[in-house]
Amino acid sequence: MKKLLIVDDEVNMQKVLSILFRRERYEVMTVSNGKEALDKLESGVSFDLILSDMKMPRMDGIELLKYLKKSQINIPLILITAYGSHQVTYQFF
Amino acid sequence: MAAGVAHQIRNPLAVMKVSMEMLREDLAYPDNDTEAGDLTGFILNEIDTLDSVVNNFLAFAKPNRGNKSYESVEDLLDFTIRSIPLDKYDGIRLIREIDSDIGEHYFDRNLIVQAFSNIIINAFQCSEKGDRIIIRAYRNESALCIEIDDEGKGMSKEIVAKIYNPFFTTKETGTGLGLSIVHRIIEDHNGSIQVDSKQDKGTLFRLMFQETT
Repeated sequence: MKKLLIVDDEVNMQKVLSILFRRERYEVMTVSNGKEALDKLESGVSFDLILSDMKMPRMDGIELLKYLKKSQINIPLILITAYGSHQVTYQFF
Repeated sequence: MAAGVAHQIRNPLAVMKVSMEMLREDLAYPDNDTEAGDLTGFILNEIDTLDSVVNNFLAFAKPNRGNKSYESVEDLLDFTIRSIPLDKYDGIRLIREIDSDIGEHYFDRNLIVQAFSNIIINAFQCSEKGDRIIIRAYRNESALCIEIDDEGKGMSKEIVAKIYNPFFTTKETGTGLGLSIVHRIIEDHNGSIQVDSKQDKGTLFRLMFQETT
């Protein structure tokens, strides 16, 4: 079973995404910000995929992505955001 | 501030949408002709409407900063087309007629994609199954021309005269800001818009941008 880490400060979003991905047979863990995600990774838990909100307190999704790249932690990360716009997309091209 | 408010609205909308899509699968899948399919479909459509209302208000409230550079016209149009949820408009053909040597133009890509997108989505919304929408890009002697040509329900002259007025809309759920935003963006690019519309025949939007030197 693939392991997924959901990183989102909105509790209802965590819950609904957990249900969605458990239906798709993922093993799901949730945390509330990038810092908690790093703590989880540093504690030795490994994941096949990270699904992260962009805007969060303490450490946001972009900082998390940068940290993973810098640390050469090769876990695919999908950013999700309620600030979705062409501008946001272009930041990553 | 507008972006903050938008975030506060979009997050609950996203939760509602994902939850409703799962419920729809549980209640109506695979036979979407059921009443449950209709009702969940209404809710999903209304969520999309609210989301587009937020997007339009955000775009209208936001000042245009002007971040222009030379951009590939073909790439911008293809990016715009890819960002449109074509699966919502089943049976409408999108035809792309972009000159192969169309080259580049001096655009703020974020803004111009938004303008193209608003016009193309309008074209889809006023079209029906079996209609086609043509997106053309070509150059005449002095200008780059982008056309969005639909076979939808068209507009009377009286309506065409008002389409850029903020908050004017003929849609039941529109904000009336989409074409106001387009108008402002095209003006910011020293461009002009021609609209040729005939009721029950369709509408042609032609955007013209003078060559920059």
